[in-house]
Amino acid sequence: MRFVIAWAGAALVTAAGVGGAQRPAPDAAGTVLGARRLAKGASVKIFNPAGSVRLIGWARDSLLVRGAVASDDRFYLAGTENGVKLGVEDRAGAENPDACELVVYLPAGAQVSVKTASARIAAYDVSGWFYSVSGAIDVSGTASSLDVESMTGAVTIGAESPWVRARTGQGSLRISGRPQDVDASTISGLLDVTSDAILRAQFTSVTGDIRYAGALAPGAVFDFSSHSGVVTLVLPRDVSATLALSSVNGTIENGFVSTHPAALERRSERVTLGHGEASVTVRTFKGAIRLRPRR
Amino acid sequence: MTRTNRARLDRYTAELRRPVDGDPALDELWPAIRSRLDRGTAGETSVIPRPARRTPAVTVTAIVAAMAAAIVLAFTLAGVMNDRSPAPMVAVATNADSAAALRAIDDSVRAYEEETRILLDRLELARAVLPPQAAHAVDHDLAVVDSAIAELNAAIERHPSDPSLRRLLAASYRQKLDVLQRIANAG
Repeated sequence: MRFVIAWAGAALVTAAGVGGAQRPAPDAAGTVLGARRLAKGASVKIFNPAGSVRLIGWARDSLLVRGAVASDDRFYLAGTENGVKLGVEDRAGAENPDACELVVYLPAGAQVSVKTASARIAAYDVSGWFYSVSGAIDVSGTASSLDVESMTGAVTIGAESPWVRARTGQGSLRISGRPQDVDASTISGLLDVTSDAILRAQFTSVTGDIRYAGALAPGAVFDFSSHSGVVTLVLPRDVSATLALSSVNGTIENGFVSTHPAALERRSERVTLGHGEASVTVRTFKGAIRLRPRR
Repeated sequence: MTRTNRARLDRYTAELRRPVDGDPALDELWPAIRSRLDRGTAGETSVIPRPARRTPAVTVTAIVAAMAAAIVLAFTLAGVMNDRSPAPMVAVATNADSAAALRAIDDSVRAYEEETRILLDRLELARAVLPPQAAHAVDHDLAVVDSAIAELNAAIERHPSDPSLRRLLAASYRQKLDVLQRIANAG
């Protein structure tokens, strides 16, 4: 029978000083698994096969790991001030690894590299690479860069970041917050983007639908591409953009009916809205393209 | 990077450095990428600047090779992403319709086909030892992408001069490379 290390009191969490309206509430309990001094720009490599990994960036030059590790598993933490590795040792051949819960507080400027099999990942004010085979990934707060990938799990990004790359296979991919440059794609999962802050973006799917709802800043450049997914753009009525829409076998629906296409070919349409200050390209093979004004 | 890929990259670099007075299509193709090549930072080229990230050592060579192909693909897919200025769509359409652009797209598709084959071979072992759930997911994703590629190839046979089809095909190969990289990451 699995034995889980007993939870400690909340005193150390209070000492950790994690607070603020936007920050996740600190855990009320959790055994301290390890702690050490860590430089702000340090790299942190984390592995946990199952359970969860929760990452919280803080304004301190230290690392604190709390959580619960199954008795059959071993927690490790090693490295220097400029880089550490931590996590739960992978037991070779274990088809259903025990769930271990890790909560990691680390300097907000650190760059993480997190990998899990089925464990879900949640991160706040943390930058770096996040990967899971089947676990869901949820990233929020502020980050210098985000590279997020889950094979079958859902990915949710609600962060402010100058650079975001996100990939899913069958899982949904939802992006909100204030990213600037975005490269996002799914295979068959839904790609849902709701943001007014994106300046450059490439959104791609194979069979998954793509939905974008947001403003288009002057000078912004967007590229949408899907094989058979439906691409839906919901834009403000006063948007200023030039849109090149083309579908080989799909339909094109233009909900801005009061405007006239600048060029019209079979299954392709070039539309100028307002002064045409942003550039949008949409290509599909057989997925429909829907252009709709925001209500 | 393999010698073949290096040679291919050199060819493209030479092509881009060549005076283009007689080829306005190439002249307008993504000056940002050309300037990177001139600075000798071609390896950094991608749709969006990519920060350093963890890459499994076993596939470093394969990924680097794939990135070389991505450089080629960037000529056709991502040029517009590398220039913040709102390029006139009419100009983009003119480039797309040009024979030079079609050739570039063809070359990038071929490069992607080759790189995916290389990656598939190298990742065969990694794929075999994936957990069942992950293996099923990978097989599903590859089947979806391969089905799209097959449909696009059939359409290209019927409409060989349609640049949109070739761009979609190149995008599908990029998706396939992403799936293969996920196999490497899952190992």
